[in-house]
Amino acid sequence: MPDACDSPHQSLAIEASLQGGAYGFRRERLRLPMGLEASFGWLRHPPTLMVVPRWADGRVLLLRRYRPAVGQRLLEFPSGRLAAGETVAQAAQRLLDRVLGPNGTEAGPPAAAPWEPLGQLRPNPGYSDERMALGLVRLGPQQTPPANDTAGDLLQGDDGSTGQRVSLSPAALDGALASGDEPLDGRTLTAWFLARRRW
Amino acid sequence: MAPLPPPEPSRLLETVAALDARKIRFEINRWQLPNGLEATFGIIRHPGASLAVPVLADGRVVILRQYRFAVAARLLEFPAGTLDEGEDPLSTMERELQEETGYAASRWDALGSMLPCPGYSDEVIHLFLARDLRPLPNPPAGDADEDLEVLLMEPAALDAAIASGAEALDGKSITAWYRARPLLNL
Repeated sequence: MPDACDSPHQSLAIEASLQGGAYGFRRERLRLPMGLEASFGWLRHPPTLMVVPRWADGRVLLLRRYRPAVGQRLLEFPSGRLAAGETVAQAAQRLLDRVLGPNGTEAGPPAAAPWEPLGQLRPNPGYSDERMALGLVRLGPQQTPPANDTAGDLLQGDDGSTGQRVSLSPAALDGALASGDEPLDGRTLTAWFLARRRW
Repeated sequence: MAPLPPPEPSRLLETVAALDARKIRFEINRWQLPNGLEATFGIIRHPGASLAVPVLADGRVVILRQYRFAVAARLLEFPAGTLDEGEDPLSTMERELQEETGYAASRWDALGSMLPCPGYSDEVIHLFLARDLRPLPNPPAGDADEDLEVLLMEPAALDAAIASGAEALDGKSITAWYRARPLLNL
C-alpha cells in the first residue's frame, strides 16, 4: 500500500487527556519517524462509515443534517459509527433502516443492501485517528423516493442532531456543490467524487 | 432544491472541561440546540486552515506525500497550513505553498471553503487553485515537524490513485480537487 508506514511514530508520554462521549482527546509526547520529539493534541475516535445511497431511478439520497459544531445544516450522506462486532455492510443496513424506516418509503427499507466499497477516508488526518469506510448502496426497484423529498426530522445523530431527507439527480447535486453557496462537507464530497465514477 | 437554510448557531451554555494542545483546543460543552434540546458533547476548536491545488503550466499538480501521526500513514495531500492569528487565508496559503513545495504562484483562484469533520470540529479550510508557478531558488524553511516529499503528478494519475482503493484518502485534498477540476477543464 503506497501510504503504509514501515516505521510509525513512538508514544513517549500521555501528558493529559479528556474524554468527551465516544471520543477522547489527548496531549501526547511523540517521537516522529523523522526523529523529532514534540507534544501533539489529537482525538481518538471510533471507526465510522458513510453510505452513498442510489435510488433505482438514478437519484442520490442525502440528508440535510444539523451540525452543532458548525451551526449549519449540511448536505451529507448518511454516516455513523460502527457498533462493536458489526461489519461495515451491517452498519450500512442499520443506517439505511434509520433513514428509510418508519416514516420512509411506502415499501419500507430494502431487504438487503449490498455494500460496494469506494475507499477508506481519513476525514481529519492532522488531529484525529478517525477511519471512515466509504461505500455505495444501490436501492432496489421497489424503493421509490416519496413525492415530497423531505420526510420531517429524522433522529440521526448521537448528539441529538436531526436530518431531513433530500433526493437529487447527480447533476443537481453537482450543481449544488459547485454553486459556492453550499457549505461543503469534505466527507460527502469525497464519497461523491468516488461514487460518481460508477453511477 | 429548496433554498439553503440560514446558519443556526447553537447556544453555548457551559464549558464543562477543556484541554489545550498547540494550535487546537478540545472542549466539552453543554449546548442548547436550535430545536430547544440540550446536549453535552466534545468539540475541537480550530483556528482554520488554507489549502491550495498547485498546477504547473504542463498540467501536472504539485502534491505531497506527508506523514500523519494521527493515522500512522503517509497520505497524498495538497499543501496546506493552519492560519496564524489574524492572518488572512490567502496569505497563509502563499506562505505554506513556498515552505512546503518550494514554488511560488502568481495566479490564485478561490475555490470556496470546506468543513473536514463537522461532527466534532469547527475547523474551516479555505481552498485555492494556484497557477503560474515558479520554483524558488531558496525556498523558506517549513515547520520542523513536517515530514513530507514533494511529488508532481498528471491529473489522470491522481484520479487513478484516489480511485485505486489502496490510498488512505485525505478529504480536504479530494474536495479541493473536485472544486478545481472545472477551472482546469477536466
